[in-house]
Amino acid sequence: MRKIASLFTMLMLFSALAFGQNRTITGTVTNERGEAVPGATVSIKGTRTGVSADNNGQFRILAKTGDILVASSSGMETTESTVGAGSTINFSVKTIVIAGTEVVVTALGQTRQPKELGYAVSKVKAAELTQAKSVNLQNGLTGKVSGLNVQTTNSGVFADTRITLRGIRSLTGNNQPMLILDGVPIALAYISSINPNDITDVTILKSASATAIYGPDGANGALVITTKKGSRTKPQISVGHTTQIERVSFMPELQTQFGSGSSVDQFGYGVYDPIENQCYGDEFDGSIRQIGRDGPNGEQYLVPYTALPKEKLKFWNTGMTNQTDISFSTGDFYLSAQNVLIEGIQPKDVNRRVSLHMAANKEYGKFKASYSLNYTKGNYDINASQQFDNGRDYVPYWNLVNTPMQIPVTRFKNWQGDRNADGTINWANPNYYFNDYYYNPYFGIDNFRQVGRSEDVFGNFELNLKATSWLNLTYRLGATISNASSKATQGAWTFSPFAKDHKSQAAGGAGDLPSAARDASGTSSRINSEFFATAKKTIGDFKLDALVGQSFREDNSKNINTSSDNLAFPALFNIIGRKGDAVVNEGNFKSRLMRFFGKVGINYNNWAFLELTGSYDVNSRLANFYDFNFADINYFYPGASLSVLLSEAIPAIKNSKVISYLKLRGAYSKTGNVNLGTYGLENTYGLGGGFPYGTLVGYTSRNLLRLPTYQPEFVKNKEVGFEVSFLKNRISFEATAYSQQNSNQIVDVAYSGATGFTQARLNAATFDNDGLEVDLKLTPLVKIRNVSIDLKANYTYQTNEVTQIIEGVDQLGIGNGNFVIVGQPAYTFQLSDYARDDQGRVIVNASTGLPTVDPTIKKFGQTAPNHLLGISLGVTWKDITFSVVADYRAGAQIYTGNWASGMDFSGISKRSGQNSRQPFIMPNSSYFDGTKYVENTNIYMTGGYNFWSQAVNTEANTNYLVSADFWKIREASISWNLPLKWFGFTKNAVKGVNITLSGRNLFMFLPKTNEWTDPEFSNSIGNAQGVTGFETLPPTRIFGASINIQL
Amino acid sequence: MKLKKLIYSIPLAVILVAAATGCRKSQFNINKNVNDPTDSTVTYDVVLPAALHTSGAIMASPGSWGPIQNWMGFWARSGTYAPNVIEETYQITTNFGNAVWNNCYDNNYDYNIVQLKANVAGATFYEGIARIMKAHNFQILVDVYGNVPYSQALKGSGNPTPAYDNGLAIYQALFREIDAGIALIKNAVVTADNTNKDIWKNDILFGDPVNGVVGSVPAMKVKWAKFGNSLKLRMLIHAYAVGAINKATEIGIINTEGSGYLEEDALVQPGYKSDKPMPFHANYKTDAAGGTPANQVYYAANKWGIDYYKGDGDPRVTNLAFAAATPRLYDAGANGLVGVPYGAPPIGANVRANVAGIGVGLYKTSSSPQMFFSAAEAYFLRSEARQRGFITTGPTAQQLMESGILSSFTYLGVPSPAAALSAYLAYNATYADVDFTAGPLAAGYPSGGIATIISQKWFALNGINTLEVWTDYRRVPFSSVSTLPGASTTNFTYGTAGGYAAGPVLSVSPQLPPGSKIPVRYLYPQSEYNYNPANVPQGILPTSRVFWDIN
Repeated sequence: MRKIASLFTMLMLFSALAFGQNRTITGTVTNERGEAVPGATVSIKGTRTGVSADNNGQFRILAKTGDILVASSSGMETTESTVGAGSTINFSVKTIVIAGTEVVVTALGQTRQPKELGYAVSKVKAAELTQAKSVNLQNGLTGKVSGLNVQTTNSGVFADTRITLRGIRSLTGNNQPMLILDGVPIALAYISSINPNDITDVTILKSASATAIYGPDGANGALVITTKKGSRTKPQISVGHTTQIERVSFMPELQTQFGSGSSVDQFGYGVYDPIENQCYGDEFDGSIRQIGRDGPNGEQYLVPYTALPKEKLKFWNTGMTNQTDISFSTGDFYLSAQNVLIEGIQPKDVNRRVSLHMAANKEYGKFKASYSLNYTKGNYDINASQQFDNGRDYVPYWNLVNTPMQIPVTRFKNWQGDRNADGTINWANPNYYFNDYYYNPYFGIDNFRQVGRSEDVFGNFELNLKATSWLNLTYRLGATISNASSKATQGAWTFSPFAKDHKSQAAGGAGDLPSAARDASGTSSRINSEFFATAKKTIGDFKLDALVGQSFREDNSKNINTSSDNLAFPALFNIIGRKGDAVVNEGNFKSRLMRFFGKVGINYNNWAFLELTGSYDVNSRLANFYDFNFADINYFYPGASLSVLLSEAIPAIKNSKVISYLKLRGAYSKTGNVNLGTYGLENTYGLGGGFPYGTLVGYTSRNLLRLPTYQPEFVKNKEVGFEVSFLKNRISFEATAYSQQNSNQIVDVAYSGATGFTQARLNAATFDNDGLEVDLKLTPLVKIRNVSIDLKANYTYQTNEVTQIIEGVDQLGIGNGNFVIVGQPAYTFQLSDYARDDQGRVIVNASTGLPTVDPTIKKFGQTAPNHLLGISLGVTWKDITFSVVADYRAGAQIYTGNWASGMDFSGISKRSGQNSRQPFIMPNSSYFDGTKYVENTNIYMTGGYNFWSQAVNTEANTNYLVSADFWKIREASISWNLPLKWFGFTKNAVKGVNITLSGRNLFMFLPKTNEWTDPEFSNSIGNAQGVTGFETLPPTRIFGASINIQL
Repeated sequence: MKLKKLIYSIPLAVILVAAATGCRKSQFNINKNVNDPTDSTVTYDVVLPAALHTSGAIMASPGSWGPIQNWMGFWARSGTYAPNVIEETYQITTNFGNAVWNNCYDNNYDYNIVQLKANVAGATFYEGIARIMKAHNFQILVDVYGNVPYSQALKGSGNPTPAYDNGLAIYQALFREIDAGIALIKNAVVTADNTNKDIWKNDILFGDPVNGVVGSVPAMKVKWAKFGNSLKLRMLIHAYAVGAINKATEIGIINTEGSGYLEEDALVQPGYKSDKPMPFHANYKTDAAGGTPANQVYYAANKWGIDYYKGDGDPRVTNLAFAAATPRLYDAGANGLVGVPYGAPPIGANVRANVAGIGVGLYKTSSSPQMFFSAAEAYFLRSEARQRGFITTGPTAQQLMESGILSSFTYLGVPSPAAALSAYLAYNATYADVDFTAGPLAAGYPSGGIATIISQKWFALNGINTLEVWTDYRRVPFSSVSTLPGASTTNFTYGTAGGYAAGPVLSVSPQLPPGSKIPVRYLYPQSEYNYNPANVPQGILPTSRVFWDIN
């Protein structure tokens, strides 16, 4: 306990011998969170002169220029500052962290000391988060905490990430943690809207045991974010700017031996074809050849017949991110603004975000009122090829990859206009572009766009009444309001009569495009009302801490989408100007959730801590409107946790010089989660093809079967762990083992079409998660004079197993090649493979040497990693800090067949160039000699176009299944706090200047078999992971520089 | 004491807040779907029109029938596209042609809903239609796959892994379903406000929105009975050699019913228009957005097929000999009525612009009705039944066959069809593919009669019901189609007894082993192997035959 100082302490001692004039210096002593440090001592170094700060941390002392003031307080690091020309000096003192005593924020904004907690939590501080200047929070967390998996699924202008804690708990529902910003839950989607520089720290609550009070929202753990507050007396202003550049770091491995063609001659050699995208032509020989067709007057476009692999890298832009932040803070008020402009690697893709954040609180005796408000505005302009046609043929990346190696594709940037300025043919124009089958990728970039905007407001206000010394009442009303709109457009394109007569893509007008527009707008709101009371009481050796509360939430949303694929004007993208009927969709959704919750904490003698929780939920999404039964929509679930601080309880440990902290803990909790959308209990019908025809309506059953009642999914979390630190916390170690049983899983099961449905949503499966999390911190690992080296490592082992599915079913397909199979991890790939003999050898035809694809799919590997390892190293020398984070993941597979098989078909992949396309013996194969399978050592099969581009290769899914293991140098940065003396006359104005150079995703180490892409990338951020293709952009490397100034 | 009161008051306060915000039923019973109709709110009369439209669309599905059009010698891949090796080497996979399976079961689920809801409501006309239309889809499924789920199918979660029924048993059950459907329709009472109301406009197959309840219902009942009888006759002809199906008994039931067979085309018309085109038109000519669909460019006239029509001076395709100034089945390409040899390489001469494509007689206009069951086919079925002696009265087999040709000419838009028919018959006198009374051209070649009827079905059902042509190819142990003037380059050659044999190599792919035969079925979809593995028959090959396939 700190001494409580009197309201205004003014101890002023005069020094008669001072040279120069003593004058009054005032200031405030605050901690790293901006909170006042009452009673802190401020003294003049080398003298006995000293004062104590008041309850607000304010002090006043007589000193002269050149004196060194020293602020100190128990539990705080001593901090010095030299008296300059000004009359104000503020101290920000750092708390000396004794393990287990540092405060963490848990559910409902309740602060706890880690020693009290019976479950695993981790805390990442601002410095660690922002060391590599990641633009968003989730990238800053990657690799830093055990049990946390942050997966970046794309390199586009949106931060497409998937965040999971301890793997998954729902086979089809949400598995991402909840986000709590300054005590208020907000949707995880807003994580990208939070300015990382506003953050003081992030506490990661790894399991539902930690978030039991939040019920279903907390089933996947939580990220609890605390934002900065300034000092009470002297406002602080922080200004920062970061510029990052992003470059493509990896492209699929491509063959560079053969040019365009799609047939073989009588000897099996490829034949050159100037209009082909397929690359089954003859070998590159450097000769001059025509690409494309003759122009109207016999003009030809000639290129050397050599591979130009760099062209495909040059296609991509250097991405550029510019981020500017400014914040203003005092003790009870915080204001910040951020402007981010992201220009992507895909030409023309831009995403801009502007956000404002404001928070304030005020105390009036027993009352405290506070509010926070956040406004974020987004604008983007991105490629929209995937929204049109079949989702593939217009996609620039696909078309780029489908460009043969001899084509100088970057010369085709300016495709507008039939003729160049000098009257020559514009070979980039679709009328003349060499490729008869796929568009010029630059045409795809320009012709299919989506422009959108969004505005999000989230805020809350809170009233707090300290009714008595032991009773506290809190009411909090929060709202999240979003509105967004977007318009995707397809420009009109009509081939010229010349092209229609000559180009097959244009033939019959099949390649002509009418202009089209897809317009979407939507609003959503969430209102959350929450009341709770907390009571604290000490009875003898026991300290009781109880909480009881109620919350009510209502979600509303509305979406309207209209589209027309045939507009009257080539470039007026308004659906009013359509030909024929528009497609119109309207969706309205409302749901309600009421919860009652309670918690009792018992602290015995500050070394044993027991916590019991209970929740009772009522959820409208379980209600069957036509057969309403209250019993169907409510459910109760309990939890308990225990922490025992052996380093307090056992004197031998307490007095030990080696062990500074030792805690054992355990927790159990159950959580109910309704993984079901609004209106999810009845089969629905949609309009049939073309309906309505005039006044005639026609509806057809949708292909998803639903049931009239569902149970909530239940997650039972069990965990035990210990935390120990040695040598005054120089070495700390923490380990947690957990086991989660996830029952009543609501899953979409792929059905036999003969049932009338292709999918059914069932309460079908149960699976278990088991895992081990280990964190080791060596702080410092080495400290020699000014150099201090910290090392932190975290390791996670996670596994799961499906234990049960509905009776009679032992496997479910959830799409994207992902299956749920009893006895196997969720999710397991099931894929087609070659027919094999009992020794696993590929069976080939005894005369042709060709294998066959077995239609019965089999299980191959899993889509989630088992091992996650993160290592971070920090080196501090005087004002310079260097840090590097590496991480490793292993145990999963990725399937790239959606596009890699297409690349084999096109003959552009490295695979398709194997053996110089000559006949070869299928590796590890056998054939049937009439009685048995014998090893194939002499039957050659065809190796060129007739193998690689054919179903016998491309439909064997396992050809495209590779290990998803990787090591990444995730981030590295060097940061320098500039010496303030450099700033001369402004030294009172400038409190700190920091310059940082950083890099992200610097190196990626992949197994040799992965020729395709970053194994973290995925065509979805949903549960069916591990499948990647042209839906993403290529992986990138990011370099940045930033400057931060504190005023 | 004050302390205790406070402790008690906290939970009380929470409960009071709860009571104030309410925990009432009305507050939580808000889960009613306000966006879509559901099982509770949907009605049979809004499902039927969409289901009938889909039935028409199934007949025009490129994914289902395009490959068979190619195999039967009608169409071919134009040189604008790379070879489809799976199709062109007959090495079909479990991912090939799945549209038939998916479309038919999906459509039948909707009919099932109509049947169940109409049954509850006593809307017998709707129920009868649903039962007959379901039978139609199951007939397609059996003819394409053989044994399929029937008795356990369409039950949703009631049976997620439906067992497979024997194709023969399904056929036998379908005869009785159709009988029941006809009876329900014939006995239906339709008024302007009873449960069968609006059937004349919701039935977009045989309904008559113009004449309303009084003027149209009696005629609709007869048309449905004729369609049901024609569908049964189609199945009887497929199973002509299957002893377990008693033709005399079944024909007897049809005769007792008394409405006869279709003599007009059964066409689906909900009100197609340019932005909501007739399915065949949308697939092969101009799509809803006014664009050219890929199939328009992908499919060209098969060289062998178009030459065959031309050789016969067929007015449906040629302007060389007779009445038709405009070809009906094919549009002329830049070089006239030139076809592509099936499987030919993608060279300039073969690109779509240079060869003939699908013609106006088939794609018609965007607002034309969709062909569902042609009168021509009904005539040919009757002709074969008469020739085989299943039908013993009425017009002769030759008369019925000629009515079928006339009906085909009429549908495809041949001018002065009756005169054109006379000229066509005269021009091809003594050729067994046209002349019903022709003798054999040479040893081993068929004479008229059945051979002529089968040949004429081939000519008439191009693009209209290619499944029936494929069925004829599979069930009849001969064909006359390759022996005629102009048919020099053949995809089919007349084979030994036992069926067609593949002619010269159809594909450029050297992977095609010599003697490869056109598949006689589609393989069960991969989804069945994935999600119904215990029931889906194992070891099915492209050569595994359906139950009526006697070859």
